[in-house]
Amino acid sequence: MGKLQATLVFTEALINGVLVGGVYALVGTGMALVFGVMRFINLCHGELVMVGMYLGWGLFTVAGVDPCLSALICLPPLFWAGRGLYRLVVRPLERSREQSQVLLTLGLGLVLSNAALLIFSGDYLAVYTAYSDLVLKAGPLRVSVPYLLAFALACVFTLGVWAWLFLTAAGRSIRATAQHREAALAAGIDTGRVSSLTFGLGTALAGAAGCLLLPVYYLHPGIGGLLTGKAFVVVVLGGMGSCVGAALGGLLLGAAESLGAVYLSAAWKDAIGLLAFLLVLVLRPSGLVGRSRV
Amino acid sequence: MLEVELLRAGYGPVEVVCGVSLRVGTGETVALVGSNGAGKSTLLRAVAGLVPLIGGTISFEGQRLDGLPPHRRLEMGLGYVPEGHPVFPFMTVQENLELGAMAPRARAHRRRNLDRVMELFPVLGRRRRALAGTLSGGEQRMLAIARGLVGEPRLLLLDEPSFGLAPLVLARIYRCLAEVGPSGVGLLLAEQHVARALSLARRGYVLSQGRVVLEGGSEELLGHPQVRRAYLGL
Repeated sequence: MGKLQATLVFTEALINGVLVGGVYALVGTGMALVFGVMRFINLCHGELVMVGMYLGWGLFTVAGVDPCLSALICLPPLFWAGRGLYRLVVRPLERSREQSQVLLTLGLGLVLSNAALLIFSGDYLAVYTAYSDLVLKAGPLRVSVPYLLAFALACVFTLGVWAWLFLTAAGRSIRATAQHREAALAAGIDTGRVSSLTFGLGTALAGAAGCLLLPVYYLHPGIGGLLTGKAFVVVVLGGMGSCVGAALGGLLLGAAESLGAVYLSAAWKDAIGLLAFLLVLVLRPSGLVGRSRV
Repeated sequence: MLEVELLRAGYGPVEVVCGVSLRVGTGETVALVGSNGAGKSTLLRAVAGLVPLIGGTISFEGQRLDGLPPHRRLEMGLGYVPEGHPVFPFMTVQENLELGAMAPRARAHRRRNLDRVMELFPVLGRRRRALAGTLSGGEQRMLAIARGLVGEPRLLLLDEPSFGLAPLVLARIYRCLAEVGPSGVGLLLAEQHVARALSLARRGYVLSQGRVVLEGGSEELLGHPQVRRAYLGL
């Protein structure tokens, strides 16, 4: 147990943190999009991630579908569920005060997590795939394969969303609305449709992230609140509403949690993320990437 | 072309525009002048569909606009340029203009319209690859007006095109606006810069505390003692 060993422990913790951070980035991207475009604080984003996790778990348990595939499968239904949710409950409060938005989305979160409790009971669930225990060895370093896979797919999804935002007409209207809502209205952009699309997209991304988190987290009805907290931290770290910022924030949160768990205590893992959050707020209140938006 | 009848509009319980009637003919340039807080912006926003009506009616080309969302009004040929710097700061000048030209009514003539506004505002052509947020205040204002024009409006509502600009830049923007009028596009110009606006427009309305207090030909208004005293400092 010398210097080498210590470096090894540090590197492994850092790698694992960054890998989980990639999925956090995807969770945060959805929330950042919704905030950036609609200026709407969605505090049930974590519960939407939980919905994706239960979907992925269900698909795996019933039909043996790999969670990585489920991440793709659950995109369309959650996109439409998100648009339905927008039409039903979000739109009436879209232009109202933050307090109403916070109460609405916290309430929605409660409904979702209690529905999960009713349907699935409070048991801790997990998905064990053929590669769950596989470990990639690179010299003395050991990296968990399911983490690596989750990270790679989260990157694909995040980059896919960026490409969509920059290359398609719908993506351009979404960016335009985020950058200047009034100008978007004046340019003839149907901002109501943009909001609906954005909320659908945010929900779909939350669901996909949920499936990718299955190999990392145990699934239970209370996980939504925890994930909402993480998503909020990621979004604020990056600078409210910036997608690039959310990606960086996700990686940072993942690394901070992982290093904290190794060097301080695993029980403090979630608190360490919040501590990093406080530090950034004190030192760089506008977030890592500043004010630049979607 | 545009007929506003006893329009009342505001924010929440606060009524800012209290029963304004006005008319803009086809291809006409009309000034809407008044001091800060007179209700000019709110009036334009209500006509553009950004602020709900409390009362009154708006018709455009003989069709009632009640409750139509802004993009549908644009589709009918009613364009709007908000006050300030209403551009998409993290997109290039070209992308900004293309978004304005995406409206179905204008899409077919996109190329021609883009070329035309770049001719009207050569600086936009020179800086087409620059991010809109890096343009100067005057250039951003030009970009916003150009984006309004590429949507092929029949009538363009302009909110304070002169606000906060240096005199030289302001003169340049007004020279361009003077070229827009003869091309058949109507302009409804809300301005605090009373002398400027009335020198461009043929007719004008003076708004004060949400009501039209004076209306008439530009010369007549410029010579009116009340206007001279209150807005021209004479």
